[in-house]
Amino acid sequence: MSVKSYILKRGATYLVVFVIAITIVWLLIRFAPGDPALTNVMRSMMAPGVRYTEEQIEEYRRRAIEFLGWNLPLPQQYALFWSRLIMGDLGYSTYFSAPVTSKLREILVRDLLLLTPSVLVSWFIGNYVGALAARNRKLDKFLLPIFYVLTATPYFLLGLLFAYELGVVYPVFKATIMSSDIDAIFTSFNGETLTNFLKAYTLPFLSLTLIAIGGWASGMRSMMIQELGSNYSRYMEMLGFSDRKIAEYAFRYAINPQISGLGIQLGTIIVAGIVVSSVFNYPGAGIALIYAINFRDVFLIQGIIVAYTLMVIVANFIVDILYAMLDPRIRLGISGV
Amino acid sequence: MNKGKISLAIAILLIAIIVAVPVLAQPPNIPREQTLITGGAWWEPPKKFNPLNYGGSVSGTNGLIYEPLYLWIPIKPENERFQPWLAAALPNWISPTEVEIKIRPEAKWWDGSPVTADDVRFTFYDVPRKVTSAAWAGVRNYITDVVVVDSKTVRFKFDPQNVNYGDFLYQLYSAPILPKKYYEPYVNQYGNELTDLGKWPVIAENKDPTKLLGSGMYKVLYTGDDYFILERVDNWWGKDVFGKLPGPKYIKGVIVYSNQVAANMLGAGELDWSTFYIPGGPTMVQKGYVVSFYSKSPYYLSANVAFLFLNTAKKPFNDPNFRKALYYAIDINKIINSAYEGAVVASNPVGLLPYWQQYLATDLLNQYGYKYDPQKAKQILDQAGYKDVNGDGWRETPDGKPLKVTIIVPYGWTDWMFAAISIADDLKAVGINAEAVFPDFGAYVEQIDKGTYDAAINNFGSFAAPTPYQLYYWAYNATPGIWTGNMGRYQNAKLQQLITQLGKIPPDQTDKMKSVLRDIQQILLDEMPALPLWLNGYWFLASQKYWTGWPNDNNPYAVPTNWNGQWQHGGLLVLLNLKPATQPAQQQPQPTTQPTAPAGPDYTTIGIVIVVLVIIVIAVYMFLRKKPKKEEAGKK
Repeated sequence: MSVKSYILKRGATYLVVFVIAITIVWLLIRFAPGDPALTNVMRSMMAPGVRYTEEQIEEYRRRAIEFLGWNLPLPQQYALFWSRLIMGDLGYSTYFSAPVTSKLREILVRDLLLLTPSVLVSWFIGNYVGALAARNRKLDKFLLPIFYVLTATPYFLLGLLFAYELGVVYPVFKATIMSSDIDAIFTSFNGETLTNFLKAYTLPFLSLTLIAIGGWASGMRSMMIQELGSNYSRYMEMLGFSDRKIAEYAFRYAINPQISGLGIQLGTIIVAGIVVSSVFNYPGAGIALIYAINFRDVFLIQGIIVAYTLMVIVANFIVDILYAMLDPRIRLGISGV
Repeated sequence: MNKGKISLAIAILLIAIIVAVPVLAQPPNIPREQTLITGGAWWEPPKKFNPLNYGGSVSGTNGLIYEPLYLWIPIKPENERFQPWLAAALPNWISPTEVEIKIRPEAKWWDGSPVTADDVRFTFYDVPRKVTSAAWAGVRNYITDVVVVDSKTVRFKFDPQNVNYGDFLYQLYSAPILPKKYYEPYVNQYGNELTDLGKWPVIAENKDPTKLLGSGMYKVLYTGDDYFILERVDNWWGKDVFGKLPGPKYIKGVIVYSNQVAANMLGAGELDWSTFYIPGGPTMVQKGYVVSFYSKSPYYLSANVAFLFLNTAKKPFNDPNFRKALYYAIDINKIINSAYEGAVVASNPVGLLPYWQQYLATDLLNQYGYKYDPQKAKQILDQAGYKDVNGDGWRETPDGKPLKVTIIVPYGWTDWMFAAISIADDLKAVGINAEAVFPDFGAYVEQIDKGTYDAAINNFGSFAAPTPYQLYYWAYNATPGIWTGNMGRYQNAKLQQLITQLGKIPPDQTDKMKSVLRDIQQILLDEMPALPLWLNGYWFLASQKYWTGWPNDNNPYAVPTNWNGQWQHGGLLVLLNLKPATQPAQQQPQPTTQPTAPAGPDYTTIGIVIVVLVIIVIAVYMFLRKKPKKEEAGKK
């Protein structure tokens, strides 16, 4: 199988996955408990004392249903949804009062800004440290507990602790990050905005990265130990290769699953986004999704899920291609060694 | 090696991010010392500044940009509560169906033109008839005419059949007076569509909120996704009348997802005025980080009544004996002491807020003697036939059917979640199979609206108002629904007639008001249609790092709230009274007071520092090890 046909095949698979995933989401939103029309009515009258008659509420509800397009027959709604999606129209967000696509662009940039560096830094550090720990027993004794503590710490706990200790008690950094902190470096880049940004950015970044390092490192460590104990390592040892050389080869094998893990991590950054949002108020997709669900902002929920499903799929696709280039066994469909 | 290719992919990704950066509007740079940062009333991106629909708009649209005729400050003595704002004096009642109101001669719009009687007529007569979905449009049912006497005087005329003084008094301080010349074209052209927030996020030229025309103390300067900035109007008309401008030059409103984040911001001095419900708020007050209205329990003023609504359209909740038994069974003080750290107070059995003390029929309350008494609850249940027949430990209904009570509160409303669990425990203790369930907010709303629930905690319409009419109408008389009220679907013709009558009593006839309210209380005590639990607070905590002059127990000039539709309870006066903290540096050593607290946190700090150091050491080690490896690779 050539690289080209391999890519085509994988691409087709992912396309099917995408269609099925989006359809499930579309259905779930429609059949989940809670009434988006009613929630929309709520948003019109949230102040105490503001009171409407039954007719007024019916009118609001009717408008909300029309806005959602839920007065149409279901198949027609579904067809409309796909035709709009293909045209790149994800609808209008009542939460942001803006088209979903333009809002998603901003949200995505903020998420990538925080989460991509965090995932990458933790991946590199975690893998190096994990590989080191596997080769050096003394270091391992010292590092292993740290890995385990880091992986076992619930993110929000560490996040809250960081925010409280370094943001409130010893206010070295800011306990929250607002969109103003981020937007400022794009609109007017100077020393002040950069300092402000870094002050706000450090804690979310540090907490995410630290937790992730533990996971990558312990994964890498056990993988390396396994590879170092495998037959080819022993054979190399007998042939008189240096430890370093053996480790280099073991590392090449051990890193493979970590690469696919990286692909998945990069794709699923929305999960990390939700926790980091609730601890530091990070203005990314996580917080938008929480609000969108609470306010039953149907188009925004759909939009975020479509975008992030696409990200997972694209990330996986890229990893697949990389894999195929790195390891001919995969594209040739050879199993076992 | 493979790493090269990965790095390439990463580089492409990073470039993609930078290219994708959208063009952003330039946020203004505002000095912190002149800015009041506030939060707790804003939960979605501040894009909507629509006074016709101020309920769904950004809090402050009504109050800061558009102003009402009066303020109504519930914590003042009865006769001082109404304070003229745009109006020049208290309403002059010519007859029960005619009232004259004068507008301050100084009052003017930002463009310099005066606020006139025409504007008031437009607001109270034209708008309700053309935009029937406006928040105060109900006044068209009883205001038959608004006569312009002269440029600064109006006379409201009421329909004697339908007049509703309860509502009118409320609208006097709630309805925002709108500039006729600015809004008339919109109102004529779009009618009801104006309140459709989906279509009209803001009523202004090109939907730009900075281009609105108001009369208030602040105008919109910038709106982001999670914050907005208002700027003081330095030629505000009130400068001459009140002798001063509001203290803060800028107001930055922040939209924060969780109360925990808000607590951190407050502690770090990044939030000056908080109306969030802050868990641990009382502790923060005790430690001196923040100030509250009362320096000790209950810390907060009472804002509204939290009811346990029972779905009386369902069995067994249609049985007054069962409802009364539930009231006896619930230990409200347990909820207050644990969920609220003693920061709220228990309600009386008829749900009258302290501001309506004069209407409370104390003799009736004593006569009925409701209190927490599980033995009494068991006794009532036994007598009414709710007994455990099949021996499973839970009581059955008199006709032998299994009985289960599900109490719902929205997921994430932690104080209410705790309360629901506590109530379920109390009910279990008297033999009723009860369970607390936490649907998410959308599902909670739907269950109450459709009447599929058993019991639910709610307080949406029970806020302080000039008379208890608003509260009782909402709780027992409205068409059932989450946004109208009467969630218990309680039907009692006598009670409903009394509530309607309550609305029709002219404001000066307090004796009549008292006697009607006494009859209402009698029915409530007899029937217990919904169970009043505790009085939710006006959650207010303030940092004195940048601003001082907050109202408190010793200086109760205002209710310090900025919740939507409640700026008129005194939030506006708070702004007028705030002064910059003279020695901002003085607060700096505050964290050193921390060691008086348990020493725990210091160990965690050290722990974090150690972890960080270890990571750094590892990183350095790693890079040092990397070099020889490269040399080796080079040799190859």
